[in-house]
Amino acid sequence: MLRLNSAKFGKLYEIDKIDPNAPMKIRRRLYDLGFTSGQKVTAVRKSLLGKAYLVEIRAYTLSLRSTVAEAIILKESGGAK
Amino acid sequence: MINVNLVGNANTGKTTLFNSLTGAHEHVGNWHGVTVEEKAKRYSFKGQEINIVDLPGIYSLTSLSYEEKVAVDYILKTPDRLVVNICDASNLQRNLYLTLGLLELGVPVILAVNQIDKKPICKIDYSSLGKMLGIKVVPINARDKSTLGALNDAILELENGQKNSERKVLPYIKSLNLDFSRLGKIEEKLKVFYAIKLLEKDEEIAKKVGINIENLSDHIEEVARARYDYIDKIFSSCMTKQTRVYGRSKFDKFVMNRFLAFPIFLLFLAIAFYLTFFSIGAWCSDGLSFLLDSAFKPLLSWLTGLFGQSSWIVSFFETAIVGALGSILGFLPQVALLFLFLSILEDSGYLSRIAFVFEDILSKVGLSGKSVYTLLMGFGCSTTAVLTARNMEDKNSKIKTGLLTPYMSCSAKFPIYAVLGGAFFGAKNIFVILGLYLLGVVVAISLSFILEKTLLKSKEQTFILEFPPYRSMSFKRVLSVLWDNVKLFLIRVGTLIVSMNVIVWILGNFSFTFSYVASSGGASMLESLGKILAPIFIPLGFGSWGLVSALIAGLIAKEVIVSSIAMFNHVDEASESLIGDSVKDPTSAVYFTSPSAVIAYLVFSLLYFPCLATASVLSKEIGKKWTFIGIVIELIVAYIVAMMAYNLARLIEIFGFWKVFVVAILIIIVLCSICYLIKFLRKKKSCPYSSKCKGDCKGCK
Repeated sequence: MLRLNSAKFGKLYEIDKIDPNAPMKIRRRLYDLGFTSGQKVTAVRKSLLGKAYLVEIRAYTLSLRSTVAEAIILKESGGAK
Repeated sequence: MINVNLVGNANTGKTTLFNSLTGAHEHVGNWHGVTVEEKAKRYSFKGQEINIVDLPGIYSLTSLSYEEKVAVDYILKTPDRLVVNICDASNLQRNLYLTLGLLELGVPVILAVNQIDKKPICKIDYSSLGKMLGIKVVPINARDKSTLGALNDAILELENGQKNSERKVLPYIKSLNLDFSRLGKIEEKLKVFYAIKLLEKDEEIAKKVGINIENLSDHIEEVARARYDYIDKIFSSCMTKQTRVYGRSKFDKFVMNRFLAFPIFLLFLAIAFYLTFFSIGAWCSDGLSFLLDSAFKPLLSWLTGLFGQSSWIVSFFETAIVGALGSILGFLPQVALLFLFLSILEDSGYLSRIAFVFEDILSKVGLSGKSVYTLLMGFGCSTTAVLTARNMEDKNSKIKTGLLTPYMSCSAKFPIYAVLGGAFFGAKNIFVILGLYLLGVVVAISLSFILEKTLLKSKEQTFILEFPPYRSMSFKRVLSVLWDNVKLFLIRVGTLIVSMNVIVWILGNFSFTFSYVASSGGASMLESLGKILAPIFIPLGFGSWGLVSALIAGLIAKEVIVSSIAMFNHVDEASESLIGDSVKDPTSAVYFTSPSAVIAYLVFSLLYFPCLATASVLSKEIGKKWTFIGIVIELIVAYIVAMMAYNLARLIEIFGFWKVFVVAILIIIVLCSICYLIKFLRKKKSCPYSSKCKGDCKGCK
């Protein structure tokens, strides 16, 4: 399973789903922020040691810790798996 | 009176709008979570009085942190109030998510779309946006008062007319599988909201209805998707496609480059530091001091003529007012400039980038990107900085950040360095001051590391931080930051510092039998008390009672350390340097045994105690127990570090800088190699698979 923390930088992906086993707080916030299935997402860069990710979604940018990025399951954009 | 709640996502300009509407000067920043509790203020428009409440930023009506809970509870408590929902035009999709939440709640909403940037990222058809949402939409620029008339008109219109009229039920709500069976007790118009919140497994709402949260099935994603699908629909019919995204520009690549990020940040700090303390700031301060002196001199000679040279009234004015206040007032330009640079850092959006890049390194020592904000604000004023620690996600990080903030060298400590250091080190004082600022940071980081490993291990933080676009500061904003800080500084000096000076003067000039010491020749109250404590500080090189009393007075506010020393120093001429030769005279109350003792004194002042205001805010924020522990730690750390500084400075004094430097480097090298050796030997032993293993156990199995 491809997760956001192992995504290639600058590449466009599609969100498959949010890991149902992730803590409720993280899932809730991710949905609030627009990380819904089928949404296009790009990882822009990571911090010095790779613990935080800069992510582009719904035409805005935000940073996530790798533990949160781990909860986001991706698929290749365009529908083909 | 019309009551209005100001609601919106983090960093959309709620407080900016609040300030523009009411003429208030609340702190704003290009950063999320600047506002941590509700603030209300009244203003009037077309004869109507409007009471507007600024709330902390939220993403939805289910709160996940303390300051979000403040906002959500407030909105739920006052469902009949008008809501002005402010949205960032450059980030409308996600902002509308909250708008939909508010419409589900059924509160009367006005959507204010904040267009700060001159070139809009996308074009918005406001009237069809309003039609699709069933509410009034007003484009505004929160910084520009002239754009706010339409918003005020909309508020009056909604209040006087359609407030109670039927509102449109959004189509996606109908598609949700809402269950009203358990909502018998709930008011009719709130039922939709409650039913949706139950689908979302909202704990607070479940509690209110009396349902065990475990019995609810999880439809969080379903609800979120329904909302976002509707937003997509709105987006495709009301807006042109958005093209520009931030975080990927060339400038960002440069600023967040792995190797350049740190040097660039240091360069910024160095320039700010230099401009504040050694060029523009210093010139302005000198000018102001000169003006103050020329204003005070005639006053003083007039008083002397009136009461005679030896009267206590003259002495009081000369030392407690002219000398002591003058010693602090002169720093006004520098303090104002320092705050200006801090707001540039904050407003421009650069701080978010720094927090992102250093997230890893900070998490190693138990801090987070979020605490950078609090700690940097600590360079300005630790009292207000400590408040911002509230947006930290877990309790331990909040306590830790709160405890470490007072180690940052706040603007009130600068006069101590400038006056005392200036008297002893002259032009070289720049290095002393720079060293003290660095020392504060180093001590804070080391302490954070120790606390992380012992008492206050931080939980894994989610660290979701929004990335704001770069924004420039308007000239008006620069002026307003400067003016606000000048005002705060003057109020502080005019009330707290003056009264402290008066108290210190009385205690320092009258004995316990209330006779004026200068004429009777006895020991003053402070002298008697100070002499009891003074021996403790002999190992640090400053065992005279005046210096110790100044430290005690400095518990209230750090500036008082300087004004007290200036008072005890008995400088005859207010115009000459405030700290004269008496600091070098062994019989003086403020005698330093050597320049090393001055360094120890400065280090001690930097570290020993958060001022009283900070301590009281701290005890509210992190509890009495931790505040007490924090203060004890500070006293111990201050004593030890000051002693180390004193002895190191003594060594340098005796043997010269280079000899000590070389020896120190050698000791560090030896210590490092010993540590490395121990680590190496331990690891070699612990690998059971291969004798060739160098400790990383890669491929041993």
